[in-house]
Amino acid sequence: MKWSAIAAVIGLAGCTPSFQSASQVTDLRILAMQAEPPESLFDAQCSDLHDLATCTVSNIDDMHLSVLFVDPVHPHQSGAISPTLCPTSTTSPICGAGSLALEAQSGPQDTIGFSLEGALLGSDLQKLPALIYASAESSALKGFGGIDVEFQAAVDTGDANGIQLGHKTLIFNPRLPAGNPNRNHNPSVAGMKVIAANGTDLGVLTPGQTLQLTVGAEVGLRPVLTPGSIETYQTIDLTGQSVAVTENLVWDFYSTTGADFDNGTASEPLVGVADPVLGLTRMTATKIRSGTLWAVVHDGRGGTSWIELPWISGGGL
Amino acid sequence: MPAILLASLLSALVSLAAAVDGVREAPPPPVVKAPQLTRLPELLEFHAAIYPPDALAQGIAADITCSIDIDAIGAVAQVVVDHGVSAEFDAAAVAAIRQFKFSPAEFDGKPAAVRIQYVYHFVIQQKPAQAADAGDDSPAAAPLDPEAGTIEGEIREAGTRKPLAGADISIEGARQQASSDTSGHFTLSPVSPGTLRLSVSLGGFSEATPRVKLPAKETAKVVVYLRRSQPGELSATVKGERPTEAPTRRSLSQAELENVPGSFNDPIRAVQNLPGLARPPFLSGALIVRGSSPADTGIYIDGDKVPLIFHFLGGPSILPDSMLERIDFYPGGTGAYYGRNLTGSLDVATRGGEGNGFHGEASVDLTQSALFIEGPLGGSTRVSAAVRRSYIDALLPLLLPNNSSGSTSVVPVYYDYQIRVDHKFENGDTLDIFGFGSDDKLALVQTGPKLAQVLSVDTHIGLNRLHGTWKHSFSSDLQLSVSPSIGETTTSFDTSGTGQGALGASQSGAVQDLSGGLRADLRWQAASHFQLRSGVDILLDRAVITADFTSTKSIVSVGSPQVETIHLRAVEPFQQWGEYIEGSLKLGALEIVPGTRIDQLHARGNTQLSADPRLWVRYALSSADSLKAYIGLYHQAPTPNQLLPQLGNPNLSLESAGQVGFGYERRFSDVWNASIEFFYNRQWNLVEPVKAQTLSTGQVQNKLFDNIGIGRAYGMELLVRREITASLYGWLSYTFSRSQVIETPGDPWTAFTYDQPHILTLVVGWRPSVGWELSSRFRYTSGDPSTPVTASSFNGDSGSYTPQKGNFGDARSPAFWQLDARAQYTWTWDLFRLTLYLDVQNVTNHKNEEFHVWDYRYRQSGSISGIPILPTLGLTGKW
Repeated sequence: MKWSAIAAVIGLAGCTPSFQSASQVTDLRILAMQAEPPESLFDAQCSDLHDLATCTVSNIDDMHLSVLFVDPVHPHQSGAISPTLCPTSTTSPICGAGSLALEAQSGPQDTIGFSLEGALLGSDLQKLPALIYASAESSALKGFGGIDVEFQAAVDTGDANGIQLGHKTLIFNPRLPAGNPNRNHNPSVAGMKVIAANGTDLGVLTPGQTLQLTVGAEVGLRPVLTPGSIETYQTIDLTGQSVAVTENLVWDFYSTTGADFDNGTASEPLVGVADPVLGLTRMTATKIRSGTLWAVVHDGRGGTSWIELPWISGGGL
Repeated sequence: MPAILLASLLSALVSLAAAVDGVREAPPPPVVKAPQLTRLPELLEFHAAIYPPDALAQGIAADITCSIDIDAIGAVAQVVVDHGVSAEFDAAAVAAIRQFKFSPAEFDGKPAAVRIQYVYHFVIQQKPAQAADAGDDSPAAAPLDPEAGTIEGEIREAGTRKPLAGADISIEGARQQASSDTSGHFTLSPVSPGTLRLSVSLGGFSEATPRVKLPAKETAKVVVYLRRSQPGELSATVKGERPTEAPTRRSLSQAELENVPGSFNDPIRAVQNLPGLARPPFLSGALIVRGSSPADTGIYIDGDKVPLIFHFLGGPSILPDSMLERIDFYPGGTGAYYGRNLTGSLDVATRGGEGNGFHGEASVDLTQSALFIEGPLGGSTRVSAAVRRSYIDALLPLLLPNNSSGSTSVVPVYYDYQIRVDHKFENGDTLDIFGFGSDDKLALVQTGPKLAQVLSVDTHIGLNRLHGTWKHSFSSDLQLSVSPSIGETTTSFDTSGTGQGALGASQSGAVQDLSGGLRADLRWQAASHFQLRSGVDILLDRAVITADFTSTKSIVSVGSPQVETIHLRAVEPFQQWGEYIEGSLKLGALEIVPGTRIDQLHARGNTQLSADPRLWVRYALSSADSLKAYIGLYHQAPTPNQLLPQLGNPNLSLESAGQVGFGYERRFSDVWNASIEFFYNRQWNLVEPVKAQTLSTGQVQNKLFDNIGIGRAYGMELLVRREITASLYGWLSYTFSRSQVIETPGDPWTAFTYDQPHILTLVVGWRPSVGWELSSRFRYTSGDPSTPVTASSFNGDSGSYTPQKGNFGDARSPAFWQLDARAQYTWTWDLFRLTLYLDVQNVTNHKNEEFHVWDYRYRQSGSISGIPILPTLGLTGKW
């Protein structure tokens, strides 16, 4: 009688379409987008404290925007970025009408960074407060917890698949007289701890160092954060009450062709939860060659950071 | 994930809360649109015909085939000779049959007129040798054999062991003849000793000629089992006045439903082939009625609302087919008896055990075993009991690939039990007590080298219920039934150790619900044309909720969800009181049934009152045609988790619906009928999730849920049906419907999750000869609505890609169609029957898309198909 359930379980296991893993970077990809700081403060003079539209915005903190992208097919091709700002939308990740175009940026792979203020074209600098207004008004929370403005980047390296779109949220908050205790900060990655399959600690690699791999041999990876990267802040919970919440950081692992991960995504263990013995992910080289490893961390409220390590694999097993 | 688990966990509580609805008394107001034969008439009083003297003198035997109309009290109303022999024989048979007394046949559990076929056998009674020598036809006149003995026997149906009345028994070479009485007994005496051959014959059965050794001056006992010579039980036609009933009721017998291909011998699952029911999601047993949420349809067992009816992951229903008597399905327009559902009701009637000896059924297959027994406990008490246990978890590792990468699957492990005791008191009162329960767990089945992987998915639902019904007749016009019920349902999950991050933290929850209910139903036949029915329907629940989980629902988050650890400890009372009154007025061809139901919901700090007037009418255009229409209001309480202060909005109101429908029914012949029905179900105050918002006061409001949704479902349902007869049955059902919703005011109408515009089902069953049954089912449904994806963008806050989506319903998965077939053969021995069946699902191996999946950046997509061609071999023994 229950054959159908059994068969379905088996059948599903065998018939799932095979897609390329998100961890495998084989063509043009955006791997991370960062704003430093992730939250910008501004001075607000308001006639109605509950209505941002009555505020005059000034002294907006500048942000340094960075886009990490890579195109393994055209590794020496420069990238061109067309940045745009627009109010965030719950229905579309892509900026539409009312967008504010920023100055185009270009440069070699893998990271292009620029100042938000510097990228605002001429008189558009004056349009930023209006965009912040519009974003606050279009939000059901009216700016509570931060005014979200979307930063969109269209990256082009001449890849056959065309441009790649990426977006992230820029958060703007009024500068409070007593300071902004909940202001978010980007986490910071200090290095990458490498663990042998038998659990032996092989040390921590820092940016610029090379990860040595042996084809077929699994190594554990445990990214190391600098102290203070995990922040505790106040927010509103399910019932509308103010509660203290600790960030839950999530890691994404990427590599160019020649190495696999058993987990492309892993959560930073919660406070009080023991570290996995073999790291957050296991990496295995499948070919003798060199490549690049990226571990990108997200803090859940707009903060992000990453570490990039070259790797090289040799024969072995 | 934890929130999803909790939601599913608490969803049980939801239905649970509604669970105390019930009572096990005959459901709704009388009646049927297509009544089902639930009990055969039994011959209580046999009268021997006068053998035509001339024929007897000439030694002529004869078989007279007659159609007998038996009225609702078991009296013979009319006898028509279908195949006569001669005027004398025919007249003698008719005269005898007219004196027969039967127990009345029952349709849907109620006495009703019926027509049966009966063959009266005229057999020459052989005299003892001495008498024959004397040339005297009278046994009494023959000289007694001083060595003569007696043959006492019973005539029973082979396989079922049920007694057969009216069988003719004679002795070869002798003139003694007897007929079996209603208990199947007969006596032949005096009979000369020796080894004798009996001849036993009965219409519809093969003649049996057992040998009996009769010692001198002794009594020989014999049991003769007759085998059927024609398939099926009998052909029945409803006679007399068309009874009343909620006009949308669709009632099917267990016999019609148990052998529907693809339904795994599960009559309740086979209900999904009726009009108005959409194809449920893959591996789900959910009842999706007229495109609405499964939570909008109440499921009852003997009138007692239950929180679940199917085991996990598309498993069988929690009641075996051997315990079922009838299934009544109301896709809408239900009367006042049923309440607290926005759309429809499904009521499963169980049956009491047989009183004529112990019978049973056992089945064993690769995944489960089941046992059922029934019989008398002495006096007027009968009992039936069943138990079933699965063992898929033990067998699946043998089937999964055991390669280097290993394999991990989640499978359901379940058991269920039922026991029912029926007693009839000397004053005519009846009492039945029915206890049942089920238990479901998910088990991890792993093969390969990664057995050490730390993984635990401890999900469990346990259900135990007990309810009884006492029926008392104050007079022939006034009956009362009282049905109390108690129950306990436990739902829990524990995913500790499932991995890193959020799920690495404590993730567990349990809801224990204790419920008590009471139904009292009073019926008064005030006049021949007017009946009044009234009652109360009370449900009391007390849910104890314990949960520890990390919630991802904090309102201020960008990118990956924020996590908050939540500890829940709550005791939630949930009371629902209902009162109803319904009248039935017959004015010639017009029948009007107005009714009203009043319900009160008492949750913690939240009291809601609803009044639901309802009306249906039926107008008989002729004895074969009728028109029907209904209109009514319906209310449904929010689910307990939606009312829970920690997870929802304790100030929610009742959800509401207004239903209207009309249709036409026609009976083309004794077995062919058709109906068409149009319906419109408007819903408002639907509970929908809402986002947090900042009010003009600057305060942040986070209701989580609010009564802001509206919905509508409309369509047409067609059913053409050939009712079950000896050799052929089946039906064609087609539904056109649209189900749409506006979740937030100002949004446009969009398709509801379960919107399937076209649903076509064809079921055909055929019994070509004794023992064989062949059946087939074809199903076609529109694809499920989905959301088109037109582009995507890398989300720098979460690291994943965000799709650019269209509106839900702007795209659909491909249409679903599937052909199933089934063949079974039953071997019959004297004491038991053995049935071997082969059920093949998806005979054509058509790949139906069950899931549409995308790659990580929404560039490529693919399908996950449902079941491939799937043969199932099973064996069932009955005695």
